[in-house]
Amino acid sequence: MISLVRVDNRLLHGQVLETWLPRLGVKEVVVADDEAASSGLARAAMTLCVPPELPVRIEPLRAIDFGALAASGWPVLVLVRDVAQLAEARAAGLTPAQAPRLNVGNVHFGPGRRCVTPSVFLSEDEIRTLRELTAAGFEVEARSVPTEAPAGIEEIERRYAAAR
Amino acid sequence: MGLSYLVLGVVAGLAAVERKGFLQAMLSRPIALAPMTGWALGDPQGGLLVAPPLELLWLGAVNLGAALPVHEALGTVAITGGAVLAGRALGVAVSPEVAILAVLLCAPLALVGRRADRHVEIWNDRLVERAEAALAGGDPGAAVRWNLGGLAAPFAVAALLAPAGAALAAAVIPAFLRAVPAASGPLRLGFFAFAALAAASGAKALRAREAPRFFYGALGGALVAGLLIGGALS
Amino acid sequence: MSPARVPARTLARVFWRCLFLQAAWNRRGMQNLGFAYAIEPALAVLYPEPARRREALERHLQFFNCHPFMAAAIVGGAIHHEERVAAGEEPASAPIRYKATLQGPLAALGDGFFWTALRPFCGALGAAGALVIGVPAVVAAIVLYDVIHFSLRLGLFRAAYRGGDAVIPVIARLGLPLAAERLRAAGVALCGVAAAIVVLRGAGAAGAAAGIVAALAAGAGYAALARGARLLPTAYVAALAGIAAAVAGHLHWSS
Repeated sequence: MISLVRVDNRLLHGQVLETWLPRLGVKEVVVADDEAASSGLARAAMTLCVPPELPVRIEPLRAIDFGALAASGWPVLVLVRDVAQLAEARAAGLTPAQAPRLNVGNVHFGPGRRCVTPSVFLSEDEIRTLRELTAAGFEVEARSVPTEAPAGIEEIERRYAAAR
Repeated sequence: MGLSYLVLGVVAGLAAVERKGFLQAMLSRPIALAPMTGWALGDPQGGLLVAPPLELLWLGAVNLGAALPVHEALGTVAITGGAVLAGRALGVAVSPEVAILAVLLCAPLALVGRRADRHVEIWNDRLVERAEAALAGGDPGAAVRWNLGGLAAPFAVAALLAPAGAALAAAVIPAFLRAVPAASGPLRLGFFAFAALAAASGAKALRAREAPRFFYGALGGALVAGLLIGGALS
Repeated sequence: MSPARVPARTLARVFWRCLFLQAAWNRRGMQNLGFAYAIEPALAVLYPEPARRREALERHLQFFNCHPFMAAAIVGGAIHHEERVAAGEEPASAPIRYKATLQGPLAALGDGFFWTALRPFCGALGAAGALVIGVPAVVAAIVLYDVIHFSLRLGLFRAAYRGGDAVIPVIARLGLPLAAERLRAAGVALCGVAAAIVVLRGAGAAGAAAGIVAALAAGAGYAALARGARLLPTAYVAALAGIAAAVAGHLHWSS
């Protein structure tokens, strides 16, 4: 089953390994990212940073069979780089039944983006994407680590409107 | 008296800087910081009494990416300073009953410190803006030196809050123990209960596989060994 | 143009500045200003021409965040690539791609080894030791931590400067994730030993009842925390329960 699909600009790093994996009891990590999949350096670095018994797959988003991941007998965590990739994953067949929870963990500041949580900056387009995913039945939240209080879509929109 | 608070402020400020902005060589962890704080106030033994439980209590205070931990260094200086100054007012060395009162009074400062850290991060956005402006003005050397400006705010926050917490403890603890001398015995027990819980907190923070087995096993084994050795010696 | 090299003196200065990586940690760029501060002396050597120097610094003011010790390796590797950019052998995107690719995985490695294994292990070692022999144990634990952490911090900086991408197999050979697992298990055991010493000390200083109360606090406290109880409230409950037990016992015996 897919325990969580997480948006993180840095993909695999300490917050994922030290907090989410133990909290969710994850047994497999799938990095769905075209750039990482095509970089030998990225593949080597990601493989060496995880504990030996935890398998990590690094594949282009289009190559991921979400149905098969959802049908697996163990908890899987899927990492994508940007909010736009969530929409891409949905277009590629990801359904709320396969992965009910979408977590926005780290999105760095950029032009047009406003502060939603200390680690998440979103643009108007990205908020619209999250709203559409919510309407499609996904549960969307923004937070970097499980011990933080999650911000749901209403809260995200409220903070976006309040931020300048 | 005033000098003690000045010393506490400087120690807390330097610890706050070492904790994140510069070096990070464990000097701002409670195990090192509490004895150093005690030593700076002329009572290293008092610092040594609180150092192990505070280190273990906050063993899991770890800065992962943008996720901030409690400000264990601020809490440690306030607690140690408060305990030493309260002991001085009572004319005794730091005892478990004084120490536990200092913990109960000052530990929440660690949470206040985390809040302050959040504001410091927002404040630091301005340093980047200054650096970008300097770079646009054609001075790369000056631009990057704004980095060091970020050391000031954490220093100031800890240097103000730690002496304030210690002052509260130094005022409340002697008054309380003089008014209720019978509290000493129970407070002593409270200190050992707290220290034992702190050890449990350390074990939990380490998140090892099969941690319960290791923790309870080592606790039981060491207890039996200690009792046997104690029995053999007596 | 002859291939430019950064002299050893400048590299030493860069490494010193790496110690200030997180001085201006900010929300938008995180360690960006710290990274630019660290690498600036090397850029000044490689790009004597003001426009190119400014352009180089601008690219290093972009977002960056990593574990502060592992980041030293990325600074070293970025200089490795900047030397080649300055010599016209690589595009200006090479150091940026290096940073972007490695910051996440090396952060995971550093967080997993230094922050959640070696440092708490040394903390537990110092704490358990201090309960028995005092200051020498504290000094030994800090020295152990700093010898290991500084040799890795400096060693990886140098390895990445010399080898660029080749630092990854060097790091892989260190076997940090496995070492971290062992340190965590040993750290947990040290916490158990520390709890036992507290129990015995309590019994010695305040009677058998104190030992029993402390043992209960350790045993039940661990169970509560493992089930997700919040730390500070649990600590207050433990201390107050200890106090209350003593008061209750006192009333019982004196009545």
